Amino acid sequence: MPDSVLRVENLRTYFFTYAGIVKAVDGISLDVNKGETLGVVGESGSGKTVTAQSILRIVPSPGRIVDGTIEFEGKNLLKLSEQQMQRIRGKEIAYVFQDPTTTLDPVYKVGDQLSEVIMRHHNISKKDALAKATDLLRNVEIPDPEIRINQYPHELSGGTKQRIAIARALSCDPTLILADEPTTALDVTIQAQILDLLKELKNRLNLSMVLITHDMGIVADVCDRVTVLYAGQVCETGTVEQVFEEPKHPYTEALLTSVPSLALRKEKLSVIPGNVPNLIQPPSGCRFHPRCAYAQQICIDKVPEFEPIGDGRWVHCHRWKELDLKSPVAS
Amino acid sequence: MLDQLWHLTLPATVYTFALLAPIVLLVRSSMLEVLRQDYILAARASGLGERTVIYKHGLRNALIPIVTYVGLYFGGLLAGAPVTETVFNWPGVGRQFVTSTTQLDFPVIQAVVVIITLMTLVANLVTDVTYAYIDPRIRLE
Amino acid sequence: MSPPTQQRLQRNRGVSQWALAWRRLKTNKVAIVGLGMVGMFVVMAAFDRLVALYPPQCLVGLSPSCPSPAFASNAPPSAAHPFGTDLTGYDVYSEIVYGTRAAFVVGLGASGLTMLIAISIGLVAGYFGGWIDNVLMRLTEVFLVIPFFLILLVFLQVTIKLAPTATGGIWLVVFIIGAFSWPGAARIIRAEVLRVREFEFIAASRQIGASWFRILLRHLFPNVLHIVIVLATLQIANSILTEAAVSFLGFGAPNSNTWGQQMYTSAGFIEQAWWGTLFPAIFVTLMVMGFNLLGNGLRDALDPRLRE
Repeated sequence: MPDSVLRVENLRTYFFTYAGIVKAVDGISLDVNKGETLGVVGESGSGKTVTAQSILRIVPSPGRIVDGTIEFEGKNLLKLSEQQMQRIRGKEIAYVFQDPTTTLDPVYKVGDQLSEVIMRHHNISKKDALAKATDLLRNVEIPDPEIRINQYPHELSGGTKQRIAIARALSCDPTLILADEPTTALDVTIQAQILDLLKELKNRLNLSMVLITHDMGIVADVCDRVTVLYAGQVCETGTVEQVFEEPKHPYTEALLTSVPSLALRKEKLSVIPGNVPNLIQPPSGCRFHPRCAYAQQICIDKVPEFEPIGDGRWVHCHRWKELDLKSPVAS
Repeated sequence: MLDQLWHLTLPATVYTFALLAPIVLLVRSSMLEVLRQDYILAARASGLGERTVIYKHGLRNALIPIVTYVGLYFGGLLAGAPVTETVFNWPGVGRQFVTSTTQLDFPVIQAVVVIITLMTLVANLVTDVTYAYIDPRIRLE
Repeated sequence: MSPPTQQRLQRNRGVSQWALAWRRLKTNKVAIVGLGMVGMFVVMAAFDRLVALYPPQCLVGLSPSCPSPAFASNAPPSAAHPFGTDLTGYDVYSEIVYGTRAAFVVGLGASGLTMLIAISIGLVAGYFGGWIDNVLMRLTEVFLVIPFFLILLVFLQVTIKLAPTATGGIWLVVFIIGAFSWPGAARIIRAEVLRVREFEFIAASRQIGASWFRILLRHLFPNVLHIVIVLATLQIANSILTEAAVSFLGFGAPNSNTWGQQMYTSAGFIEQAWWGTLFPAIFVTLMVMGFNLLGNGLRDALDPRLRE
């Protein structure tokens, strides 16, 4: 039985805005085991980022976690005090943000920002922290780290800044890394480099990672297991092989078919009809029913149960047993 | 000398309060703008204490646009406060200007305007230089 | 889930931008106070004859339209004269009430003129860029650097004193204040235009072949409207204050009967008859404060960047 590093159960995070209550995360459960990379995939608005922010409890106001438990190494993170959380952030659980251009403070040198985090969690001098920072930059394959240490963020390229963000995340040897779409803001060639770096770090350091993305290709490339999200709820969870070859949820099937592929020549780009739902007034029953090709009356009336199918597989759909969903990547 | 200082307290206090309020509002709105940024969230996510996050990262960034405004206010401050000086009967440039204008004493009027304008320009210049100094994105240009 | 959360979950309706802003504004207690103060002054100006005790500029005790009580110049506050009488024998309270309209004239007039100039310059400079922007911005900077208040005094001294009995004097004050206050607002509007013009729908209208005038008016302007509203409100406050200062120093229009003017006529007797100067000053403060509070509240409520 692989040991669990993180277990999120029934998380609900709502945003209390003037326009109404946005139920960004409404009953999400997921778990990450030691040394494994969990992909969290979904469209924009599915609740991926808010989930990650909830884990670290840095959800910006007017957001608030209203329900659920988050178990990390045996402790319920939602019950900890702010001081205790601060000892976990950056040290046990680290976060890599999506946009490298805004994730570093523009008025401080790169080395200072890295050493600041190191010194916060360890009792070492500034000089030693800077030395460690230089090492970290070397580990993420930044050339001439001694020079980079003294530079400001605006002097560096996007790819380099993202490597620095990753280095910052790794600086205190965390147990778990939350990577929020780390490659979305970069161009394709740099994307590939960063992904390779992540894979290499994962193998070398036996990292546990939650990789948030909207790109199924990245999931197939880097992740071991995957959780598919839609409109603040989970659709299905399983290993990458299971989910990709035998999707059990209509949304997953739609996601897989909508990825344009050069190998499968089709005349039309297949899209998922409809729009991302309004999270202040989500659809009744199963939230995907307005866009689901297989929806029936029960899907409109009742919220589906989250059912285990065995082998670590979970599905959130009324009709999964009867549907025979096809995956374009099935072998 | 001491007598001058004594007579200075009231007008100085009044003037200070008047100048203080807009700056406070500016700092507030600049801070609100800065605290929404990703790097503030990132600092929190790295486990830094709330005070560090707000002062070291937040305020430092928020102050950058403030400096421009404060610099300009400084220029305006030196423009003399005709009203304050008149009310408190303080023999300053402002009051002198009011008297000269009433008498249409043009040389004095011109002189005062030129001096004040020059001071404002200098204040602008100093502000620009300071701005370049504190914002690393605007150097070497 | 706690009951209050569940209750709030019931309240689900789509809302417009302006309704959202109004909701935000309502929660800002200070801004509502400001709104209330402004409202009070509006009522005072609209119903001035009803609110005041005596007819306008009436020599109490001497003139037939206000025969009682007896004439008293520079009399302290009493039952018949809650704020006392001034040098000429007018009731201070009534004069203040009648001065409210003048205050609005100054505030709205000057602010209107300022915003008109500022919007035109800001939109044009921001949208066209290039040398037009350069020229306009240099012009703005010139106006900004010159000490506006001092120049204002000189202008007024020269023009008003040349025709001291004309009753149109107040319009001159309005005009000069309005004509000099635009640079600050123009800069802010231009900055907002720079931000908005990058939006794609502007490029889209250009591609359809819309004329620049149409783009400015129908697309850019509505998107800087929120800034314009805030600036206009604050400019009203500013203009009233400036006029009061200018008149108090003796440079205002003598027949305009603004609060500043009233302060000026009573200023000489400030030690013996302080009420003639103090009460108009209080009203100036209150009105300026009201518009300032409202303006700041509007800024918070309308600022798109503070939207969640």
